[in-house]
Amino acid sequence: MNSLELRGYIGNLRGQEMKGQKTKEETIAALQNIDWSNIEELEFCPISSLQNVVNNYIATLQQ
Amino acid sequence: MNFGASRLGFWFLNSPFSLTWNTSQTGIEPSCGIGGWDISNQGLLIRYIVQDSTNCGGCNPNVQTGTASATITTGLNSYYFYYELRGIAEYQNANYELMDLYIAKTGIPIVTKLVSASGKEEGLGCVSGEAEQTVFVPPPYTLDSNSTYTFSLNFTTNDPLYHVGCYYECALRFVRI
Repeated sequence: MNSLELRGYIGNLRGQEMKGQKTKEETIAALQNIDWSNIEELEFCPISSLQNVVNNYIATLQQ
Repeated sequence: MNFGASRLGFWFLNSPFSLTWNTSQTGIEPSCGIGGWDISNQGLLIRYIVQDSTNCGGCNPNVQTGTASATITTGLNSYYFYYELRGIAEYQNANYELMDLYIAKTGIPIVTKLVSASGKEEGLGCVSGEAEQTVFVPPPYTLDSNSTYTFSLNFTTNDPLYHVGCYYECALRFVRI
């Protein structure tokens, strides 16, 4: 998976959680199971940005 | 820029309320031009203008966020509250740019999400299009008499990518029952 595909995956997770198709716990588990070592970094979609998105999202879900 | 205000005229005719919004925003770069909250029509139209992201040739390298809240007291009458979120949004991925509208009634510890808007999962990179609205509580929402309500808007881009000519706006309308 490349970083742009991962960006889409994270956005889809957020959509599923927002619409009640996934629980907060399921969403957190899916985010924590991302294998960052296997992500190909594409230009214009840095992995560090995605890691910030995931960390912020997990923090929001845990509130 | 034309935000289509003329077709919105009916929304704001003879409104029983004008709204005063308390706003905050982060990530906006003053050197990048217009951006952040913009309020018009006695507070019945509130818009968050997103500055173009650097990865698409724009000026802003930041996550852009904003919050806004406004309170009304209904008095002797009850009202139907109509609302709509719309705008121009990212068409790379859904659920990065996000605007949510909430309502809370004073004295009741429940905040209800009414509607969200976001970009679309189109994979089109630096291309934008109409925002997609997800309605959680279909309007109209009934506002009781002698009650106080707070409306809240949250906006975030979640990341600093794929924002080109984007804005999100919330139109509100009140009709006495």
